[in-house]
Amino acid sequence: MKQCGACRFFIGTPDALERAIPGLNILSSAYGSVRGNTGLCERHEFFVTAITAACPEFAKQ
Amino acid sequence: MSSGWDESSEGAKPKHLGWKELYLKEDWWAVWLGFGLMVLAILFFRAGSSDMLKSLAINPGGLKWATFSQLAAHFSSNAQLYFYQFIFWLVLFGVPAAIMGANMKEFVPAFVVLYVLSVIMFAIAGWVNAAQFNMEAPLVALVLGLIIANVFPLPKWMDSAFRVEYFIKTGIVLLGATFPITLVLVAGPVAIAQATVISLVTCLVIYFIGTRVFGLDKRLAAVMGVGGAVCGVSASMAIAASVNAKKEHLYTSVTLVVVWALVMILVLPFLSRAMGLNAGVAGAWIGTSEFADAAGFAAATTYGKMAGNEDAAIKAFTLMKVIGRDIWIGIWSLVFAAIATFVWEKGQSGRAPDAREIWWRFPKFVLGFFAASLLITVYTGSFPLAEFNSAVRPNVLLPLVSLRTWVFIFCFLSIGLTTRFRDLHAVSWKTFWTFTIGVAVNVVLGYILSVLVFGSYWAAI
Repeated sequence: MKQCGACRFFIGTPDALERAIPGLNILSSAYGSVRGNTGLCERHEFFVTAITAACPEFAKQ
Repeated sequence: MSSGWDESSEGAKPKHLGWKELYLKEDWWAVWLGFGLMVLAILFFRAGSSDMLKSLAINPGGLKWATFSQLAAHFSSNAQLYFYQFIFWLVLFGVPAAIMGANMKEFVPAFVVLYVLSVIMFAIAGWVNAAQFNMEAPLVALVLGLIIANVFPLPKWMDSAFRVEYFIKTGIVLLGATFPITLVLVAGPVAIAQATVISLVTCLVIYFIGTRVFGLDKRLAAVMGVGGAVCGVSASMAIAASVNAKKEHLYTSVTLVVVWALVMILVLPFLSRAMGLNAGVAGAWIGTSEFADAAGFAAATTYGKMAGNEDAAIKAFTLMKVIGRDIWIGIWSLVFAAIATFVWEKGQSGRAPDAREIWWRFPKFVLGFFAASLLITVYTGSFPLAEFNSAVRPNVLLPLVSLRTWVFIFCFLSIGLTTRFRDLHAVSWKTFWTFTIGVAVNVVLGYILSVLVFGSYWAAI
């Protein structure tokens, strides 16, 4: 089963996430444990986890 | 920097970081650094070399200088120590930052700025008239940081060293060094019960006001609900994937949490003083009112200094916020995943709720806090009281308190330096009022429980 974390639209690294969400680093952090493996789907602009089942628009990284 | 994802083939299964978390997440670095400094303090003490740690913990905050020449003389005679101290902090925080992926060409110059500003903060706090003018270090650090970030074009790359969460988590682990484990065990359950009641009520108020009164998207209302009730933007991020929140939902949470958190850092200490609250009582109230640990410590530390009992304010705040709220974040994520999957969109979610989320999202730095508290309780318990007061306290605990104060100042400055109001997204009046009503309920309910119902309990902390 394809998962979002392997998709090229998945923003999952901490640095990229903090750039994608301005202000995230003011009172929070993408480097923290609470984020788990949450990332941002750049294609649909909503949040998923790396192990969420991929949608039909999956594109390999 | 390795992301931990296996990208070798189509259909490859991304994994959780697993053991890589131990060196790729801020929480674990806070544990290694904070606990490591504690162990170092004990080892130096046992070797009769505590002066080395005391030198590294130097700061002008206790000078009570009245003239600039006195301040200049202090820096002049201790210039070498301050230089060693700067190298110590740079290496301590810089090496882990590099391992986590920070660019040292950005981190190092930004950290120089942070260190110099921190020295200035301590110098201000060390002015003999500082308290008279309410120039408490946390407030001055925050306000100065805000002015610099919003008046001057501070480049974004400097955020590389302005790591609010990295510093506050390390500071909280160091706080464990002055936090008896017995207090955690006895007062922890009370804090959990009180904080849970307030968090549940606040979250439900925000959710139902948002959806039923203002017709907001359920996901947005959920993200704002946990943001206002549990742990600010971190909580919003924790449940974001569980409810498939949209990017703009998190933008909204960021703006509302940041604005209200800053307001409360400034308002709650002065409001507490106007009401003449006991430091422990105010610490508990701030613990249920503030959203983020960093903002809450700024407010609690400020009021603690005003009330002349910083220790009580910080202890009560830590019990209420870190133990009462932070550690339950994985459960909130799991609950919302279940709601989103089985109630909102039956059969349409990407994956079923996973109980392992409770551990994956558990704020690991809290383990460092517990470990530090346990270690110091066991170690200091072996000394007779007289020897504890004459030897252990000045040579182990006080240097650790000073190191913690440095780390907290790094954090409070970083809050201000990273808050660029022009970068925050505008919010609709519906979301503003939804969140604001939740804040009001949160603050009032927190006051009722912390001051009126459990006031005598928190006053005895």
